Amino acid sequence: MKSHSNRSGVRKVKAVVWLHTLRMWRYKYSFLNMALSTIMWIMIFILGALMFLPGGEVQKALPAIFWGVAMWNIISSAVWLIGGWTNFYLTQGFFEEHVVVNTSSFLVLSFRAMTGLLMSTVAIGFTYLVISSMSTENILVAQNPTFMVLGLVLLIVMALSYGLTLSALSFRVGVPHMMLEIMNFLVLIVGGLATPVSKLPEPMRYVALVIPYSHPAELVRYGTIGIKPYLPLEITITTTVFLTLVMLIVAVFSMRWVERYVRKNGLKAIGRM
Amino acid sequence: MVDWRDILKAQLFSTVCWYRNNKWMLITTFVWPYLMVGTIFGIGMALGSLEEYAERVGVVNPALYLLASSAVAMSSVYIMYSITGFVLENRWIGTLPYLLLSPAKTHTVIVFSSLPDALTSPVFTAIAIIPAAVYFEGFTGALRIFIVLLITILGMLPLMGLSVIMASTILFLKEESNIMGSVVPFILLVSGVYYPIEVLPRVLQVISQFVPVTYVVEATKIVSTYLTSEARMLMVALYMIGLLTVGYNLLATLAMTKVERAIKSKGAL
Repeated sequence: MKSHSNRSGVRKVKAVVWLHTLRMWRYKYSFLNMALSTIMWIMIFILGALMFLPGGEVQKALPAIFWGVAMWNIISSAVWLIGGWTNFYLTQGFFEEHVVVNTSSFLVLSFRAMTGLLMSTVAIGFTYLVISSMSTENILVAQNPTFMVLGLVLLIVMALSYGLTLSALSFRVGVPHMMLEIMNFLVLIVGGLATPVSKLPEPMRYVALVIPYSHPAELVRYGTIGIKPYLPLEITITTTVFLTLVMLIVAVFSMRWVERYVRKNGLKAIGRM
Repeated sequence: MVDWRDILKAQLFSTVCWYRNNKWMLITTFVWPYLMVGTIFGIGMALGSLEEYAERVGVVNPALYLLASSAVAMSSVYIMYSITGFVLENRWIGTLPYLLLSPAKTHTVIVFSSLPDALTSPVFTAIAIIPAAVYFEGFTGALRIFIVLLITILGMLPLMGLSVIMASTILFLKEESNIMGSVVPFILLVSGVYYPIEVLPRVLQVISQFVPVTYVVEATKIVSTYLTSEARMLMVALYMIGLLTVGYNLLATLAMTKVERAIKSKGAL
C-alpha cells in the first residue's frame, strides 16, 4: 500500500515537473520578457544611483552592484514567480482541477521554483552583460568560493520559502500587489542587498540586520569581493542557517494549514496580488 | 449606439469603484513616488553624495527633480500598461469576445476603456508629490509639479497609438503574461529618466530621439530647474512631443484596421 502511494507521489512529481517545463517552453516569450524587464527596471535605478558617485569611483562600485542586483533578482523571482503566479493559478480555476485529480496545489506551486531559478539565471546573465560592458575589470570574482556558494544556496532557500508562504497566504487573503512591490524595494535599499550593511547609516544597519536576507547577502559579498560581514563571520553563518530553517518551517506549515483549510471550507480568497 | 463617451463613462465609474474597494492600493499610489526616490536616494547616498548628482545631471534642486522625474516615470508610460493590461485581463476572464462584439470599433473600446486608469495615475502621483514640492519651494514648487503633470499627460498622446499596436501583438502571440512588459522599462531606460542620456551606449542614444518620454523627461528637467533662459528648450521638447504624437498615431491608425481584421479572421482571442 505504501509503495503504491510512493509510486503515485513520484508520478505526480514527474507530471508537475513536465507541466512546468512545458509551460516554460510554451510561454518562452513571456519568460524572456520577464527576465529582460526586471533587469531593465533595476538598471534604471542603478544608473541613477551611479550619478551620486564621482566619475572616477564608478568602476570600484560595479562588482558590489552586480552582486546586489543578482541577489535581489533571486528574491524578486521567488516572490513573483511563485507568490505572484498564484493569482493566475487561482483565476484560471487550476485549484479545483488539482483537487479533482487528488494533487496538492502546493506541489504544483513548489515546483515553480524551477521557473523562478531559471528566470533568475537568465536575468543575472543579462545583468552581467550590461554591468561588465560598463566595467574595465572582471566583475565576476570569487575570493572565497565556499562562502559565496553557502550564501547563495541559503539565500535561494530563504527566497523560495518566502515565495511559498506568500502563495499560501494568498489562498486565504488578498495580498496587495503594491505591498509586495514596496517590500521588494525596501529589501533592496535597507535589506543590505544593494550596499553592505557596514556602509548603511547607523539606524538603518539595525533594520538591515532584522531583515533575514541581509545575512546571506553579507556572506555572498565576503565570498565574492571580500567585504567582511558587519557581524563576526561565525555569527553571520549561524544566523543565516537559523533564519533559513525558520523560514522553511514557516513555509511548510503555512502550506499544510492552508491546504487543509481550503479543502474543508472551500476557496474563499482570490489569490490577488 | 455606443460611442467613446459611453465607454469612457462606464470605465471611469469602474475605476472609481475599484479604488473605493481597494483603499490599500489608493494609499500605495501616494507612497509610490517617494519609494522610487527613496530607492535611488538610498543606494546613491550609500555610494556618493547628492551634490555630485546635482552636478552630473545638471539640475539645481536634485530632490525635486528626482520626485518630478519619478512621477514622469510612473505615469507617462502607464497608458501602455493600462491598454495592454486591459486586453490581457479581459482575455484571461473570457470577456474579450464580448467587448469586441460591441458596436464601437475595437481600438475605440481598447483606448477609451484604458484611459481613466491611465489618467488617474498621473493625477494621483502629482497630488502625492505636491506636499514635497511645497516643502522645497513653496507655491512655485506646486506650480512646477502642475506643469509637469500637464506635460506628462501630453506625453501620453504619442504612446497611445503604440500601445494599441502592442495590445494587438499580445493577442496574436497568445502568451500568458504581458509580453510587452519589457517595452516599458526599455522606453524609460533610453529616455534617461534619472541620468543624462549621454551615459548610455551610442545606439541607445539614437533610439532615445524617437521615444516621446525622452522629451517629457527633458521638459521636466527644464521645469524643475526653472531657468527662463531655457524656455526655448522647453518649447523644442513640446514640439517634438507634438510631432511624435502625429507620427505614432498616424502609424497606429493605418495599422489598426488591418490588425483588427486579422485578429477577427484568425480568431486570435
